[in-house]
Amino acid sequence: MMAALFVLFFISMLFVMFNKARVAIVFTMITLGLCFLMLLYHATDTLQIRL
Amino acid sequence: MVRFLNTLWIYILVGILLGAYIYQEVEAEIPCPLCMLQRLAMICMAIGPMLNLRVKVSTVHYGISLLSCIFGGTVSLRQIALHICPGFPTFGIRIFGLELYTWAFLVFACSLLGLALLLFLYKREEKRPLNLFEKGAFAAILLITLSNCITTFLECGLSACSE
Repeated sequence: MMAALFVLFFISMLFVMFNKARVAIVFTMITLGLCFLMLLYHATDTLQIRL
Repeated sequence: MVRFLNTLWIYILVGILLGAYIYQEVEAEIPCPLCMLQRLAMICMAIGPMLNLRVKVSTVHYGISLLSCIFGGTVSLRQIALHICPGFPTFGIRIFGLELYTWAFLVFACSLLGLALLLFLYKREEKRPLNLFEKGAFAAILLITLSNCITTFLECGLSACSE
């Protein structure tokens, strides 16, 4: 899952390179949202809590 | 001036990511999930200045960097909080007396200040082609991101990396 996040950011960078600014912005925002979810997953997993 | 500062920002982020990467390879130490998330935040932060250079300088692009600064700062603060109690084991090496995740927090905090400065300097500019210095920054950040993709996949596979 972590590797997938790196890949998604790499794809965002490729969109920037190919001048697809709007797609890149949307893609980056979605990936950043997934990163927040990953942080949430890590927090609940480490502390053994259920939200 | 603004374009130069944006390029410099990318180079600084590349330098930090490269340092972490070299430490990981030299010490043969698999980074923790929170360290990975901090790296992801730094990579995401670089997308803002990349858009500024490639398309045109815009506040929306700075917004992306701002959000990733907040995200990265949250992650590093969480890691600091996890290891802050006396006698509790820490993670990784110390540089100038501070842990790596504390340095990461300082990087995010300084980036916020840098962002404020760049927003002060903001003015509309027309699109310009990339010069050699800027192309170098693009190549460096793309390369470091790609190498992180490969090594993370090799170390963790498709799972969320273990502690």
